[in-house]
Amino acid sequence: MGETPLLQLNHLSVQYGGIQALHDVSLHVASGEIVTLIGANGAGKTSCLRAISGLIAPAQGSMQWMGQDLRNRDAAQRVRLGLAHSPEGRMVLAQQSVEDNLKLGSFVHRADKVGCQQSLDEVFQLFPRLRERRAQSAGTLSGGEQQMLAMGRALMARPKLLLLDEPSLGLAPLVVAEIFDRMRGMNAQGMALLLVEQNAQLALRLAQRAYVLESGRIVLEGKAQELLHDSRVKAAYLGA
Amino acid sequence: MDLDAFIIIVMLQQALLGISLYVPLMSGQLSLASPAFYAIGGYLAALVSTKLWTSPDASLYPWTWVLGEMLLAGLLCFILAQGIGRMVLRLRGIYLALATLALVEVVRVLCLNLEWTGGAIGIFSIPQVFEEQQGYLWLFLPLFVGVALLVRKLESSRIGEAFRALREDEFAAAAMGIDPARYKTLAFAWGAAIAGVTGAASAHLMNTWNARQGTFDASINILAYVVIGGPWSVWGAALGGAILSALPEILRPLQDYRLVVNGILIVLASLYLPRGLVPDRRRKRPRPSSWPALREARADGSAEILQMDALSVHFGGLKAVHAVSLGIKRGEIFGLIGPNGAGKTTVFNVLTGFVPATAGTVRFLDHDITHASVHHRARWGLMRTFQNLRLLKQQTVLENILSATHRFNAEQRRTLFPAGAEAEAWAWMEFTGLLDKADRHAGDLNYGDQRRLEMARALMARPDILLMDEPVAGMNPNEKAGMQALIRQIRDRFGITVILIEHHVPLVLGICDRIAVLNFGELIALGKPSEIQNNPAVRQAYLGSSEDVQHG
Amino acid sequence: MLQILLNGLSIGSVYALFALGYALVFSLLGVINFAQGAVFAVGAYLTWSLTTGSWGGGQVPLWETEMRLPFLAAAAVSLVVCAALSALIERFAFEPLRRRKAEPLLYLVSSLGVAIVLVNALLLMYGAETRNFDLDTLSFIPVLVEWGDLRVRGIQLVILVVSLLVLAALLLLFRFSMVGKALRAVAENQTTASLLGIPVHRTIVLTFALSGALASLAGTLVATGFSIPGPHFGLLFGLKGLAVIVLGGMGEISGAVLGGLLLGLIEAAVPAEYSGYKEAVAFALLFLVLMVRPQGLLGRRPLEKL
Repeated sequence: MGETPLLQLNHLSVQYGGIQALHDVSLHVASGEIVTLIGANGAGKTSCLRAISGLIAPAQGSMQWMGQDLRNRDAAQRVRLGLAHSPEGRMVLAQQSVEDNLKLGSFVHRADKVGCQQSLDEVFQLFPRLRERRAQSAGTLSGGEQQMLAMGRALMARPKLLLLDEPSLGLAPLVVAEIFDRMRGMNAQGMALLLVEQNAQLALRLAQRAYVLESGRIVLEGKAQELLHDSRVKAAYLGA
Repeated sequence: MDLDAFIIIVMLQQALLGISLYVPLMSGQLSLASPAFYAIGGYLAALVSTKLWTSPDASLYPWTWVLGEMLLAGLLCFILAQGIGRMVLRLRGIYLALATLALVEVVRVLCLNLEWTGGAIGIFSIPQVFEEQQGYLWLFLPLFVGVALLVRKLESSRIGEAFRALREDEFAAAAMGIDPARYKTLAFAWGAAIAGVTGAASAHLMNTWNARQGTFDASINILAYVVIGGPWSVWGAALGGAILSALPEILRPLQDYRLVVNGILIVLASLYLPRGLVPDRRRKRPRPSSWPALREARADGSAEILQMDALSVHFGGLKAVHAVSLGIKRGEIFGLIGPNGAGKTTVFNVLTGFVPATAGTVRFLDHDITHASVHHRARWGLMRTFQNLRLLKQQTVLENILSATHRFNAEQRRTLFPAGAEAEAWAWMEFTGLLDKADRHAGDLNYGDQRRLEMARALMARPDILLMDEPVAGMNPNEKAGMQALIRQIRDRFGITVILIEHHVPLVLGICDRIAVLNFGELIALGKPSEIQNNPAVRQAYLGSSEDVQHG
Repeated sequence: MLQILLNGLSIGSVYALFALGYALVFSLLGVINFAQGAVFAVGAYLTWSLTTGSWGGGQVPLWETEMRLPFLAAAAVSLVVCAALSALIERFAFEPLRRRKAEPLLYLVSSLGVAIVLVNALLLMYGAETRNFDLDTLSFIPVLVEWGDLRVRGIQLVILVVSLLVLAALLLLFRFSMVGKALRAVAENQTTASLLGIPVHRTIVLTFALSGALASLAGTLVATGFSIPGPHFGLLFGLKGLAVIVLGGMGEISGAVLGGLLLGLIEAAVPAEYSGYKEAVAFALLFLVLMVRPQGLLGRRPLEKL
């Protein structure tokens, strides 16, 4: 590794609800890269994302953001640094309008009115459906539209790295294809993605590199293409 | 007067009031109405003893009359509360608390202003039952012991089980065949009766009874008793009442500062004793060495068991389900698919009674059930699982499964579970692979296990039809395969008709006999898996053409 | 008729101010801060002491000082102190519960404990007698305003105008600014809000401070317009505030305003011969509203997703 990666986790351990959720996890994401984290339920994927975005504090280990220690920065400050997290279950603000949801996404840049408007236009360009529904309250959107809103909202913070947790959960096949298409588009504009996905097949096809988590430990890592053809991965996660 | 005996009497009295708040809370109702019923009970005793009883020579009031008053007060409050309970039934949490608080204030102001309650002065010279005040110990001690034991008995009864299920999740309880209205009203009325009886006994203790006896401060104090004592058992409520009411006396040396210190202690207790003085104890049960095999059954697969006829559900202008007609055959595995928001879950909700039909009818086993309540449908054999999982999270896996037996009456249970319901529950845990987790709290299970638990719970009720809402959502391929095999067995071994909603297309195509496709609330296709797979309308609306996605 | 309307709006606008504090905290945390009524009483006594220079008078012997602030300065000091007090209550009685995601019940009890402490501390200090404001400090307000047949106490007009101005300013702030949106985001989901970069903890502390300031303002206004009938009055007023937010819709900011004005009007309309029942009006109304429309007048019915 010649240059400093965007995000680096060193020997991270996380306790969650009295259970050791992560064990000595080290991983990194370089800028502009798509990395996926696959594994069974309860393997610690979501805990990993929550630790990175500052929702839970690690018990041990350290995290660096562009070489800088993240230890004393809370979730809100990390957003300011360029780290956005689109959580599992989407968590849109159901009672607020689509547009307000998006505007809140750029809360950290609220002083820059022009920039915020520009981000909003860009998001609407990427997800035209959201423009049509801008005045509707987010709770009335379909599952797929809510996922788009969650992603769009994360984009409003103009992140360098987007953490995506289970974007395909509970979505119809057609919609899943559309969501993955958008991820490709976002990446093409230079944004790095760290993707947690139950659908390992799709995730491995999209990503450049991947880590496999089992009971809170990283048991495999490598190029996504190689893992796609790895017999262990095939047996455990691809249902081959 | 002996001060110590008086403190003990007050402790018992307040412990009783604590219990009167705890009983509705058992069923999940935070009712602060106790002081109102306490006041009403007291007025009743005061009126009876001052207006009806005339003493020629004896100065002491006969204890038989006191018992009669207490009984009458309990009965009156029980009946009043039945009515009020029905009215406030749909209020939950803080809303119920505020409604009952309002009730306390309204009763207080009424008593303050009405003529026959004596206005602000109240009713005075209430005849004494005992020569000395400490004699009332012999009234309050047996009353407390009796009430506490009765409530203890209630806790371990099936009614208590139903209360606890309601406290955790009213929807889940109704879906298991528990009638929320009936049990909640009952709990509310019993709480009121306990407060009323306590009030009647207290009227004689106090000598004067006025509107100051039932105020909102008292409501809040009683709430503090139960929260600090521990809202999980009758002993917690009683202990909280006894300790907090004795506290000002214990702190008497602090004189004027005692109430301030009292407040500080309440804050500290709520911060540092989150589970209360008497915490919830986990009900562990030993695994039996063996249990009888599950009784098997076959379904013949010809007759229709469930029919929807032009069924519609509209929310305002939104047609969530529109004119859907479908017949499900006994013993079928029937799939319901479609894009998000197509109305699939709404179909489940209207079939199980969670949502009223706007038009059309539902027939089940040749009965029109379109207007039947959730718990009635559950009792008749229509069971469901939930997309967002509705388990009793604070209860163990075993308790969750046992909650499904509320569908049956005592006689049915005897014939259905000859070795006992618990043995049957163990068999279902074995079937779903949850044997090692019997004592775990449902909320602590991982996602896949929670889905399996929901299924085990529904199966325990031996439904005729099981409606499964996304049974493999969030599962990995291995778990999905396991679940697929289980669903097939449910039908093949136990003859249960299965209707399932699922986005995992290979599973739906793999196990369903027939599939219906919904789009924008309307039925766009119905047929065998192979027909659906190649239906152009379905491909366009839902499946898409990419093979990758289908096999994800 | 117009007289009743004016009386009702005047007291109603104070109800609204006070209840807004409840509504803000409830909308944010979904819990009721029972100490709000006690802070109201603290605010009233503080303004009284600062203007009259008399402290104590209960168990604490009366202590007369020469330091008498002009009314407006006293009200401002009281406002700031109560804001700080309310923030402290958040820090000590709410934050520990928030950290471990405690049940709403516990918040009720811990804030009740705080209310008991504050009210009894006031009782120790000031005793239970009624306190009246020194009219000289309010001499800049005309005693009576006559307008044809209509005769209104000047102080009542001041109460009405001040309350309505503050309410309007706050409503505009919440409706149109980013602060309002952020507040609603925190109210709906704290995790999501923090992922959007909103400083959740600071938002909550500031909201408590604001609700404390509103309580103090309401306390000062009621005390000048009427009197301070003892520390326990704070608790009773607090209970009425609850009726107001239920009436308007719990956690609905504009609902609190509507509920307050409505309650004021209805109370003012109670005929004199039934004045004994006046105290029950708020609660009978509360009960009725909960029966007919549990979500309150402006509230949204919560959707239960199955």
